[in-house]
Amino acid sequence: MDRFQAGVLAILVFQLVVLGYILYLDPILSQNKFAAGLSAELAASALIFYLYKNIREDYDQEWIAAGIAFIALVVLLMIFYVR
Amino acid sequence: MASEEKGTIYRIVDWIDSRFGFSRTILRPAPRYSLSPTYWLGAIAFVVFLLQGVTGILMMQYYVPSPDKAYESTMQIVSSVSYGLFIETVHLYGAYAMILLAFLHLVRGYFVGVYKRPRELMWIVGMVMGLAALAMGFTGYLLPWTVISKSAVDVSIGLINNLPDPIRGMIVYIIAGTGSDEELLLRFFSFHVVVLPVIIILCFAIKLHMFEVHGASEPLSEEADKREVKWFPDVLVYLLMLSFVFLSVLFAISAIFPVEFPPKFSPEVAAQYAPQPEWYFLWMYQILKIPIFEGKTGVQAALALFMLIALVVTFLPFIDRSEKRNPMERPFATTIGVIAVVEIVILTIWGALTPGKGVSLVDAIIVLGLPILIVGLISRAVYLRYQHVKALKMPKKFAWEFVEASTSSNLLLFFAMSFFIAVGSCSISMITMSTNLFSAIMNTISLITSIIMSVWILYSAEPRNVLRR
Amino acid sequence: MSSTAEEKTVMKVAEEEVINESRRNFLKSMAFLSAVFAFSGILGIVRALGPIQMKIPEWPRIKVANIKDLKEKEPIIFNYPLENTPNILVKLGKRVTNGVGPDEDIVAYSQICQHLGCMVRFMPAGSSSEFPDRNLFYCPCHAGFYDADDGAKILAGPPLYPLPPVKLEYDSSTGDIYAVGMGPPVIFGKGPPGSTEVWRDLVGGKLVGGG
Repeated sequence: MDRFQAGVLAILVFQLVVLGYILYLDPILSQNKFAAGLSAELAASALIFYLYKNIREDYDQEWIAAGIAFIALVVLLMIFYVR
Repeated sequence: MASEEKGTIYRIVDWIDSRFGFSRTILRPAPRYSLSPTYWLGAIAFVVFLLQGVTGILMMQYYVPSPDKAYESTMQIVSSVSYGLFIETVHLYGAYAMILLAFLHLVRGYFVGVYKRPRELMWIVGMVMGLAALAMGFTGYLLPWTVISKSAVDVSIGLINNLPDPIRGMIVYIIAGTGSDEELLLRFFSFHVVVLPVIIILCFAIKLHMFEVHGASEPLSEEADKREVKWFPDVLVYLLMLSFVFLSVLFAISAIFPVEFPPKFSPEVAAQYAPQPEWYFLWMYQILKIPIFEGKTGVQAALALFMLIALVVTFLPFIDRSEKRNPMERPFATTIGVIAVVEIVILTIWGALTPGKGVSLVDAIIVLGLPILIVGLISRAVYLRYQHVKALKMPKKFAWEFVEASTSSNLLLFFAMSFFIAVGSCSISMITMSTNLFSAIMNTISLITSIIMSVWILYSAEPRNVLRR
Repeated sequence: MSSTAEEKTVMKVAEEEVINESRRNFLKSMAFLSAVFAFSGILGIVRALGPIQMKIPEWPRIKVANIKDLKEKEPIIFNYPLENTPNILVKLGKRVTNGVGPDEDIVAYSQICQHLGCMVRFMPAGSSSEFPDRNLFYCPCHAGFYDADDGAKILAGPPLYPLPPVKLEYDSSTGDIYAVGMGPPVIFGKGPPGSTEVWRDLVGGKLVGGG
C-alpha cells in the first residue's frame, strides 16, 4: 500500500468517523455541529472525486491543499465554535 | 481500451441503462472542454433547486399557511423539529444561492454568446426559469409572516396597484385574491409550492432536451480538448464533485450563521421597521427611490423600465443577430454587459447600505454615471490591446479565455478580477455617501487601486495551453 | 515545459493504456464508498419527520390546588406537563421524603402505569389486603402495586419502573401548590422505558397553560 492509497483511505476513515459523530449528536441542541460535520464530509468526498477525476496524476497541488485546509477549518469550527 | 471485465456496479448500471435508455438521450458522453465549472453553473443551480425541494417538503409537514399560525409554525420548525433550524437555514441560503447561480449562469452565457444560433429558444426558456426563480423567492419570502416580509409584500402590491387599470385588476387578483390576509398567504403558498416549481421543472426538462440536441456550447479557443468522456462514471463524478463543493460551502455557512427571524407581523410593529425587499430585488427598489420615479406616473415609468429590461434580456437573441461569440470580438455587447452587471451590483450594495433613506438625483447621476465612464474607458483600452495582439497574429487565446477557464489559475484570475471590480463598484457608491473628507479620500484610493488591479490582471493573464489537460 | 507538452501531445493516444489500472480501480471503489458516506449523512435529515421535541425542557408552572381544598387521602387528578398526561396529587397524612406542604406529606405522581399505560388508582392504607399498612397506587389492568409512601416504587406486579414523580412547590404564604417539573423515569409512552431523559415528557402533545 503506497502513500497515495494510504492517504485516500485516511480520508475515508475520516468520513466514517465524522458520519458516526454527527448521527449520534442531539438533532436539536447540536444542529449546527451536524451541519458543519456534513460540510466536512461533503468536502472530503469532493476531494476524493477530484483525485479520481485527475487520474492521470496532474493534480493541481493548490486545489488539494485548499481542500484539506477547508476541511480542517470546518472541523475546527464544528468542534470549537458552533453549538 | 479498458479491460472487458466489469465490476458489479457496472453490470447493474448497464442493466438499468439498457432498460431506461438514458445514456442514449440525456446522459451522453461529454466533450472534455465542458468539464469546467462555468459550463455547470446551470446544473448546480438545478441541484440547489432539488435541495430546496427536499427541505421545502420537510418543512411543509409542519408549516401552516394561515396568518394566525404561519409565524408560530415557523417558530416551531426552528425550535422543536429535529434539524429544523438547519433545514430552514439551508432553505433560505439555498434560495439565495439558486438566484445567484442563475444570475451567474446568465452572465456567463451572455458574455460567451450562447444565445446565438441555434440556441435562441434555450435562452428564452432559461429566462422563464429565471423569472420563475425570482417569483419563488418573492412568494417564499412572505410565508414566515414576519414584520419585514409582509411589509415588503405590501409595498410590492402597492407598486403593482399603480399599473393601468385592466392589467392592474387582473394581476392583483391573481396574486392577492380579494385582498384579505388569508387569501394572500394561501395564494402565495400555492404558487410557491406547486405552480412555480412545476413551471421550473417543465422548463428544465425542455432545456435539458434542447441541450442534448445542440450539445454544450463550443469553446472559444480552437485548441480546446474535444475528446469525449463517458457519462458514467466520469461526468457523474464531475457533477457530484462540483455539487458537493457547493453544498459543503452552503452547509458550512448554514452552520455558522443560522437564520434568525424578525418579530411576527402586526400593523403596530410594522410601523417601526423600514420595509426592505430581499437582496435580489434591492436594485429595483433603489431605482424606485430616484426622484424622477416619484408619484403615480413615476412609478409607472419605473415599472415600464423594468418590464423593458426584462423583455430586452429575454429577446436578446433576436436583438443581437451577429454570429460572433468571442467577447473580445464584440466589444459593444461586452461593454454593455459589464456596465449592466456593475450597475446592478452597485445598486444592490447601495440599497443594502441605506435602508429606508431616499436618494437625490445628483447622487444617482454620480453613482450610476461614473461606472459607465470608467468601464467604457477600460473596455476601450482592452479592445485596442486585443486588436494590437491580433494583428501580431498571436494564437487566438487571450485574457478573456478565462471566461471558459479550464485551468485553476485562470479561474482564480477571473475571480480576482471580479473581486476588484466589485470593490471598485463599492467604492464608487460609497464616495457619494462619505460623511467626511478622510473616508472620501480612502474610497477614491480604493477605487483607483481596483481599476489599476483589474487592468493589470487583464493584461497579465497568460494564454494557457489547454491541451495540458 | 514545451517539450513536456509535446511529449504529452504525442502520447495522447498511448496515454489511455498507460493509466495505472489498479490505481484507477482503487479510486473508483473509494469514490463510491465516499459518496455512500456523504449521502448517508445527508439522509440524516429525514429525522425531521420524526416526533417534535422541545429544544430545552421548559417546564410549565401551573397551580394544581390550594392546601385548604385538600382533604387527606382524597386524590386530585390534574394534567401536567401536557394536556394528555394525567397525574394524581394526594395528601398522604404522614411525612414522606419527597412530600411538600407544612406536613411534608403532599405528593403527586403520574397516573399512567409504567407497564402498559393503564390509569392507576390511589388506595389509602388499609384498603388493600396485599399491603395493608401502606398507601398504594394500584393498577387494575395487571395488578401492579406502587408504594405511595416511598417514591411510588414497585411493590408487586409486572411494572418494571416506578411512577414518574411530579416536582411540587408549596407557597406557604398563599397555600398554593404548584407543579414545576417531572422527575425520572420518563412518563410511559414518551420514550424508552425507564429512560431518565425527562425532557421527553414534553413530547407529543400540547403543553398545559397554553405554553
